[in-house]
Amino acid sequence: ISHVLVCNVTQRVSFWFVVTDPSKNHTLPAVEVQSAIRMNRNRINSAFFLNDQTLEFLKIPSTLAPPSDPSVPIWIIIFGVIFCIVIVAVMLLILSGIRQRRRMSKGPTEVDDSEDKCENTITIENGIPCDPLDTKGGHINDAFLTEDERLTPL
Amino acid sequence: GGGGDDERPSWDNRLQYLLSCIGFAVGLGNIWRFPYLCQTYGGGAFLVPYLIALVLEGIPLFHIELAIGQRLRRGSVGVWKAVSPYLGGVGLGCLTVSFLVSLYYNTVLTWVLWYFLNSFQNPLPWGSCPLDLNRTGRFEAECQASSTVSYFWYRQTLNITANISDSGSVQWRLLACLAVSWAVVYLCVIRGIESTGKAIYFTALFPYLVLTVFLIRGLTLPGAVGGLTYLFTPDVQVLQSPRVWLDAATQIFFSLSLAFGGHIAFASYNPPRNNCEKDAVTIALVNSMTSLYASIAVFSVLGFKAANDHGRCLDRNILRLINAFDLPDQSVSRDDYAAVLTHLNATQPERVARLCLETCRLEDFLDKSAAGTGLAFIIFTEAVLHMPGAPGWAVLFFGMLFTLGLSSMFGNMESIITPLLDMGLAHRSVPKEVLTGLVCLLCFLSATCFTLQSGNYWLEIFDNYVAPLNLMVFAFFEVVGVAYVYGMQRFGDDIEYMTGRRPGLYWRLTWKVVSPLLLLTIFVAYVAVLAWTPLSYRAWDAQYAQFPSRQEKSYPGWVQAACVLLCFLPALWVPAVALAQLLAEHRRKKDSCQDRCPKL
Repeated sequence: ISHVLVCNVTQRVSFWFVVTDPSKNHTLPAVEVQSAIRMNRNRINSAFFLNDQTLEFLKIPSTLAPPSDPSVPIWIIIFGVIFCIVIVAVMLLILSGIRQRRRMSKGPTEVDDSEDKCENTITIENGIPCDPLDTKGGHINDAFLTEDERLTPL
Repeated sequence: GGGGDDERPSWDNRLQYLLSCIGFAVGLGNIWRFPYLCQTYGGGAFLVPYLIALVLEGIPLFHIELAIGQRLRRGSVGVWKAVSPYLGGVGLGCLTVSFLVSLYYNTVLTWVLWYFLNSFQNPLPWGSCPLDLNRTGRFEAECQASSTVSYFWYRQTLNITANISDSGSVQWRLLACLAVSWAVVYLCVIRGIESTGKAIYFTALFPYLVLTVFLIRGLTLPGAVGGLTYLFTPDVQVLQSPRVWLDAATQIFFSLSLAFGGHIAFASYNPPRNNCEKDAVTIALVNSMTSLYASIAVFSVLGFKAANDHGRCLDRNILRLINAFDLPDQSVSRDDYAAVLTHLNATQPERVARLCLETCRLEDFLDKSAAGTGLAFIIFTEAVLHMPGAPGWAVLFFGMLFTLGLSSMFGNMESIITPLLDMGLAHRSVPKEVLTGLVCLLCFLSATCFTLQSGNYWLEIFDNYVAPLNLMVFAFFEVVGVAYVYGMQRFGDDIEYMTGRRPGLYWRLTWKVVSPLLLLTIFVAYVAVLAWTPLSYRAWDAQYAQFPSRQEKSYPGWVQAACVLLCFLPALWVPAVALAQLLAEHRRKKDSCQDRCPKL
């Protein structure tokens, strides 16, 4: 290392320094040195294995990292997801409610129509249509079966 | 009107009913009001007035609500009209108060939802100040003067104005969250207890799961045990002040959500023979246990936060010492600090005095407490920042708050919807989904006033003045109405029909004598306290000389008038309906007399 002179060394590791320009043989102005240090802060820190907190240059504030500004804020994404889920769920519930109501209102009217048809063709005794006797033909009458069983087998 | 017995919906099973009542009773107040009261009123000593109030006032009133709702199988309006036509105003008043409370309660849930949405990022947005508008490398002045969490709450969430008369504009972010909040409530309440009964399994049980997780995490954090011991150590001297007893009684009253009409509505869907006495005692005890459980979790996190702040205060002082006396870096640890400071004070006192060191006492940090939104959105959010894995804890915390509030909202909405259905306002062909949708839409439109920039000030007014006095009036008339107007004999018969046993001496004594007297005393004491405290609020004003302290401003005249109206207007239903009933009776007697008189 050359062209770096140290003076006023103190007990703590702190020092003043100037940088000389060998070709023109004069010290560089402080402003230039400061801007050079600000640009290369990372290299100087890593040369000493230190960081911004442990290596401080007086009058040179450390450059802060730019704030991460995503194009779409995260909260809007999650808001959109939750909103869509809720709207879809509400729609589903409303539609299922409408379908249930339509089924209930159709159900009793269908039963009424079929009962009218039955009355035209089939007689109804005590509310029970005599349908089974006419259409099913060949229906085993359980009463006779039990009587057969009562007779002792030979 | 509607509400015929065969058509009345009913719970799928007893667990749904119990969870709904527990969910309604356990709300945000269990998390952020009870721990604050415990801390302010001498730690463990507060449990004494709390338990006494629970036994003498909370459980008897709760039992009455469940029993009368289950027996008469109607919402609050129908029940009190059935007890006596002169008491019909109690039901209407409960309906009004439930409506007003649901407006601002869901606004709090909107804020919780906003924080929940913002928790899904690392680092959390309330951990750092935004840069200056010119991006010159300085932070926003307001944020630097206060703190990152306060700035995020007051500026980036509420965008609050400096005083209440300055309404500002509607905050579209909060409006969007409000819409989602009401949409979620509508989704759960859409078919009455058919839908809330399914949703309650999650919304009532999830908070307990999260509380347990926070308890385990909290107890393992450094400084938690210190916080717990300090905050729970009983200070028996505090019990001599009457203010403690008043606050304990009011806390029990609001913690159980009495006199809203919600429990009456829930109980009205029960089968006729259900042991309401056991239910009342169980639910009240679960509510109190939850408060205790939550305060242990909250105190352990607060203890951690206090220890953390204390440590950082020490670190700042150590840095100043090291810089001034050229000591090697990290040569003074937090434990050495006291010894090093005394040594330096003995040798070079003038230099030490010039340094302006802060006094760092752990008790000072532990005493910093807050209730309500301050606890959740400022103190807890800051504590979460320092926990490893901060976004996950923030998501859990705000998710828990949202489900807690949601289950309370179910009770509020049922106390509005069930009486409306019973009164038969809507024709039978109008489906229930439309009625609940209209109610939710009306509530959403009315609540947009809280999304204004001055909304937080208005919410504090609603929170402080709408519920307390009105509910106490209604509760008093409820107890007196059942014990004296309905008749203890008839009520005892009803309870014997429902539970198989007549009410014992404890119930009869509290219903006839103790609870009405207690309610009257609390009412008078509360009015006295309100009359003595000046109507003022604490405003967040960046121009204030002592910013970030909040400036105490008094309400303008029209706002004070609004406060007084909110205090008493809902309770006026009771005398109004009684008067109307009296006039109708008078007219009926006159008509019947006119019929009879000519015959004589």
